[in-house]
Amino acid sequence: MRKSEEAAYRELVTTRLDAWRRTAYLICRDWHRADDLVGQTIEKLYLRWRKLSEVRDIDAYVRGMLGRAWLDELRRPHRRELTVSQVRDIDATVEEDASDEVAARLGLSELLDRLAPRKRVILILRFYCDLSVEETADLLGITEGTVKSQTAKGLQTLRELATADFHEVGAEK
Amino acid sequence: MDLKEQFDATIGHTPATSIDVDATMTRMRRRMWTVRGTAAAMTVGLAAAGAMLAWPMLANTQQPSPNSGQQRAELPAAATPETEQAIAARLTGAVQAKLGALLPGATLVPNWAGHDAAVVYPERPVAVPTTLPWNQMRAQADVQDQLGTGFVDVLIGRTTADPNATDYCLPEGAIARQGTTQATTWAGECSVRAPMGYPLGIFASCAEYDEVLDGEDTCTEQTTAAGDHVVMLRGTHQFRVDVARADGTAVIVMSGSRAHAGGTRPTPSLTIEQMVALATDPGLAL
Repeated sequence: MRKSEEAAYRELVTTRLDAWRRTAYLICRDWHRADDLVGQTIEKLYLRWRKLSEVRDIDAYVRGMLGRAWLDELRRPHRRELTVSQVRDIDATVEEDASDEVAARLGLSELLDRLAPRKRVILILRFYCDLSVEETADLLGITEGTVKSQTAKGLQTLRELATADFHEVGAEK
Repeated sequence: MDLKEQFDATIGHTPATSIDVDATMTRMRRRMWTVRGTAAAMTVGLAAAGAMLAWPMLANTQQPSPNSGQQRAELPAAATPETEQAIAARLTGAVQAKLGALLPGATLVPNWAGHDAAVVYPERPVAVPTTLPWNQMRAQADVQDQLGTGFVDVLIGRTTADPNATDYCLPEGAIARQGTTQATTWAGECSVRAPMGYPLGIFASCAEYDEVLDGEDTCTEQTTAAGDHVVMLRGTHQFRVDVARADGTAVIVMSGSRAHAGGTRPTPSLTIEQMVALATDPGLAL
């Protein structure tokens, strides 16, 4: 890679790094894994840099790479079953700080956790990264119909989960 | 608050990162130099080998030393393990030869991800630090023929973990591999450990299968006469074949039609039978 190309690469990555990390975190729900995902993706980006001159929106392309890399990872059987030695404690201070914002944040966070990975990735690419149906389909290697149906199902699932949680909370009160 | 703002609120504060962009660039620069250096060394090596082969023909008046045969016999047998690059090169030859035989007249071109067409490269799962050895080999390509553009994607790994592999420490919160434990607390620094060289995540049977392709997938399985267990997934525009081979090699072959990207090809580039033929090819053994 020429010096000018390296400078362009460095500028893009340093500028967009936090945004990519935030997208990766939404996708995989763990900051360590998000950093691994982004680290690997920017390495691939370096290797492919010269071939990306015709890519219209590199930022969208990278976000697609993140989603695709994570779904690839999930296809491995060891990823489908959680095996942990200890259950992580929930931070008690969260309950004390019961502001609407924190409650809303925890609400969507938990709902995202319960969403199937592919639906989660599609919703994130569509509504957090503002990608079109066509772009999402192309980046994930699936049909536009699948993107549309998974988006609709994902939003419906979020609504159902949120409603169920609302009723549960109401019943407790 | 719209959904995007809610997503942002969900993420909350972005913690400091361990990613060092300059270190990444230095590492990748070195890696590219290493690849080039290896290629150059191979060229020099091949030239030297050619010169050695040509030498007796050029100098056939010279008699070989009476001790040369004995010296050759005393040389220890080569026990050097196959390098990552050598495995990738060997598998590239096998994959390209098989695809050439299965798809006469088709052209293989780089796909959207930009990898060289049907050239095998080592791939590491996300959880594995890049400083550690490869976990699986992969080759991808778009396939162009008279029906349009489709694609093929081949992953090659092992059906079981490498028993000689060294353990490594997973990041905090990482998920240990199913079946082989390793989710143990380790004094002090490491909470989750897993062995290196863990197996390729194939579907060992249709019972394990979940929705991975187009949403209308069907799954069938069979065991070949050679003892290779084959799981075949059929989607609308994508097929996937997972093979646990009797020789310990695990192979995943995926093929699709690129219909989602406006392609006109009605079916994947490879049939299920062709994908099975590729996945069970003896040349793909690790």
